[in-house]
Amino acid sequence: MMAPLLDVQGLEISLRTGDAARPLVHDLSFRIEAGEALCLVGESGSGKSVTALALMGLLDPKKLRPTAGRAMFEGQDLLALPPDRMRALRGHRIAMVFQEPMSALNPVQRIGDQIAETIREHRGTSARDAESQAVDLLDLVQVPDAKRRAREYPHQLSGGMRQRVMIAMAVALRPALLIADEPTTALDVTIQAQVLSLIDDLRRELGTAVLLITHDLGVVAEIADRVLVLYAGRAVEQAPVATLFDAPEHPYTAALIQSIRHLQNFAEGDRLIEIPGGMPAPGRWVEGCAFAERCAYALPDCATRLPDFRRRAPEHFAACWRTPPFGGAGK
Amino acid sequence: MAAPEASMSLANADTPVSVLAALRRRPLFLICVGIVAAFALLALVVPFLPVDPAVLNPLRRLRAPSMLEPFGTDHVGRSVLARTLWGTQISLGVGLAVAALTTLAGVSIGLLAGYIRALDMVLMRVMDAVMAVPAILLAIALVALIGAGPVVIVVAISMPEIPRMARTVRAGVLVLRELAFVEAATICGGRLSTILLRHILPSVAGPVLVQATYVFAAAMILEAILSFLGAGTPPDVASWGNMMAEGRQYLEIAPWILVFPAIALTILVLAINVIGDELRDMLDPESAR
Amino acid sequence: MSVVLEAVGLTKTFTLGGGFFGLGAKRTIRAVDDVSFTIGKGRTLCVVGESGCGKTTIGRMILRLTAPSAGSVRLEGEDFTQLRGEELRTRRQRVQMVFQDPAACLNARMTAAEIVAEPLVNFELLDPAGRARRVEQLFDQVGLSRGMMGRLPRNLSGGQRQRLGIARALASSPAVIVADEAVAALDVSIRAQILNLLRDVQRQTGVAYLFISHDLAVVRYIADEIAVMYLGAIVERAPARELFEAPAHPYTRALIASIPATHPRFRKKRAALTGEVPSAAALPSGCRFRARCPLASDICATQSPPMRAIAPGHEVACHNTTTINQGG
Repeated sequence: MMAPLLDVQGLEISLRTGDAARPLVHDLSFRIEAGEALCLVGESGSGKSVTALALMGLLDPKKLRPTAGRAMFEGQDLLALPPDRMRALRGHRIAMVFQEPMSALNPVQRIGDQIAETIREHRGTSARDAESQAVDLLDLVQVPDAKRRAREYPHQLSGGMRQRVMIAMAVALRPALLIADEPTTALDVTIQAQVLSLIDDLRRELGTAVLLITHDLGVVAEIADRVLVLYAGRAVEQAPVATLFDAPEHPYTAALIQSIRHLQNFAEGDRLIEIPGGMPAPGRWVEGCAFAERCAYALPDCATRLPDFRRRAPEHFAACWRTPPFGGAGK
Repeated sequence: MAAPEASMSLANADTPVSVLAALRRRPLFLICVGIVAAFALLALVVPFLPVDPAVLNPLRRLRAPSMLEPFGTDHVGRSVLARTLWGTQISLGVGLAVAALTTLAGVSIGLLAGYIRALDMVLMRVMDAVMAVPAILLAIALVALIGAGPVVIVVAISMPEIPRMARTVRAGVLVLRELAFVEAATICGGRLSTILLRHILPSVAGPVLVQATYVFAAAMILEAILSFLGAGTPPDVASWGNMMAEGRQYLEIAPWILVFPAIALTILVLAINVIGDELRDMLDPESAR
Repeated sequence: MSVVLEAVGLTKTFTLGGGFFGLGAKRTIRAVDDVSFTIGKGRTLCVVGESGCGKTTIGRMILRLTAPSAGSVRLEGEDFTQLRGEELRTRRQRVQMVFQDPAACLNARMTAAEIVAEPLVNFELLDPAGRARRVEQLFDQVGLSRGMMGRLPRNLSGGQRQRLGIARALASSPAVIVADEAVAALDVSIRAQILNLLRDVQRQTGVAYLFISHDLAVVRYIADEIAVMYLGAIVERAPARELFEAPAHPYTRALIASIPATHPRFRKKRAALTGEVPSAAALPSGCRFRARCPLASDICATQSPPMRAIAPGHEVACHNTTTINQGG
């Protein structure tokens, strides 16, 4: 069997407060195969974004740093790479797309030039070639009238167009892995559908693996091959997408899926299925299962004994003492 | 998304402790607060000390510093030490009064101009007009017109500082008035006074405090300059500016007359400015570290 | 059913440009163009549309945070747009707001109890002892424990802050609450809690909601009636169930089709709608949706379609309505 493209083992990320270090992400392991789309799902504070930042070497080292584990990508450990090597890798082999594209684009440079510059920096192509490649890339991400748009500045574009430009820059050097952190959260629904289908098309055309971070199970249903669900800094479930939606093995996943389904499909007079309470604040130490206090299926032991992240079926892992069915959600 | 929220909630969890911890990490701030406090204490107790700034002793004129007269004597035999100590009162008093007046007037004007669009044009054009006149000329003109007295001097020094304070406050209000919690205050039936004083003022208090320390320091220098030019504190009063003005004529034979008040002024102004800088860093986590 | 809020011909225009010293050409943008609707006591009207469609401006005009350029808002039969000064301030107790970002709409320096008591103090409702009891009752009503009364907003979770914002909006017993994207910033697991709470509160107090959202999926549960907006105008209005079951306007259909799948089995082959919302500064002639419309015909380019009823309570502004219904 071939080694996976990205293999994360036992990742721990800690927040430094004074002398103490509080872990925000505990013992996280996952892998991504070449060309695969893995979704990292969780609510805010679940640790999904810091995980992405850690893999890209973009954590603020004064506050957050990986304190254990490794992340093997094409034979090197991303967590141990010196900053200059990481910089060379970023944009080249690993590319990123963020929620707010405006913050990642240079406001005073034409978008065509920004893309061309990326190409020239890494490839040493001539200025003219790079420019025509930039226009081709804008075509690829379905920016209409690409030649004219290449001469525009970021502020002249709509949010959806900017996100397309970000994606064009990200795939300019044919990276092996594209990390997208909430790429459609700031976009309108009709534009979200367009951008998701664009990411999916590019993955098929270019063979780029995608690590997509989102809070939205709807996005997951649209794009994922496999899904990793995070809760309070720990992996609670991992499965192929159809399996996850059909037969979730963790009560949290089950409740989330039920609640989005119920929102679309309720009977007159129903109360929406809700998960009571809220997630513990990031870094708050919980002895047992962090979801226990909100879980309808919690046993007395759950609050004190941490369940292992165990294999339930081939390719299906979950961290729960109980087994399905998890019919009604919440307490 | 997750990261900033996480670090914020954790950092804010224990505020009283972190304030003390932050102070401990800022020794310079504590030293300067100590210096200013020492001068303030001196100004308060100087009337009870056996030092008289007005006693003439023509026989002991222009004496160099000695055990008897640590700072020496001036051209009419007055004790430079006594006069420097008494000068502290004038300098700090004027500085404090100017800072208070500037803050009161500047904050009021800034709040109204920033929040009420109709007033903005009028108030800020008046402020621009005041700012267009050089501060020192405005002060001299006022003193010349009305005559030198403590109130006139404080007003004369405050006038050119008020527009700067008003602008600082107005800039803050323009940002804050658009924020959801200020709009929420309007929707909740807040009166103008409630919205300005309860919801907006606390959020601009930081920059105001910082600006006030700079005004404080600038006012002490301006008071000294006015006295030096003979347009300030009446010449019979022991102020640092008056002392430096008189000492200038004897600089070559009795430099101590000028040097000691100058050193006192420098130390005090420097300390207050450092306090302002440190406050700004502490109140604005972005500019700190 | 008694009408508590009525908007008549609400219009908001902004003037853009003028350029350097007014030398450039001035352009007028119609952010909201002749919008009318009514909301009955205890009912919920949802205004749905994409960013820039004018839905937030409508909410702001109703709350008198922005003055309408034309049209009026009648609140319980009284012309709210004509009120000034102290009269306006006092009447605000009848129309309150729940905000999108619960962290930004709460004064960070006030405790939870002070925040909820603020409308009571401002509107001079109840005596101090009565206010304290009312605050306790509001905490119970929105599901916040009384132990949280002394906390500052930053020591509450996102869901708790939104509950606090709802308690504040309820304090003065308003007739109408404008909820602008009230659950958009909340986590999925909290969203259902807040939607249930809003509905419970409506049943208990008879408050009417103007619920503004970009997300049709959320709106389905809370709405009695839905108005779909596109570029400043309402293009379709219908009872909630009917809008989902028989959408008449091609834009409404596209919005419904864009709701993300609830199972990978229903994965979309391609996006329902191509292109983007044009700028409100350069409205197309005729129908404002025609550039993106799969059904656009010649008449769409020349004539702006009027609103017309196609079923009781169901109105649509489209020349090709019948075509769509046949095409199914």
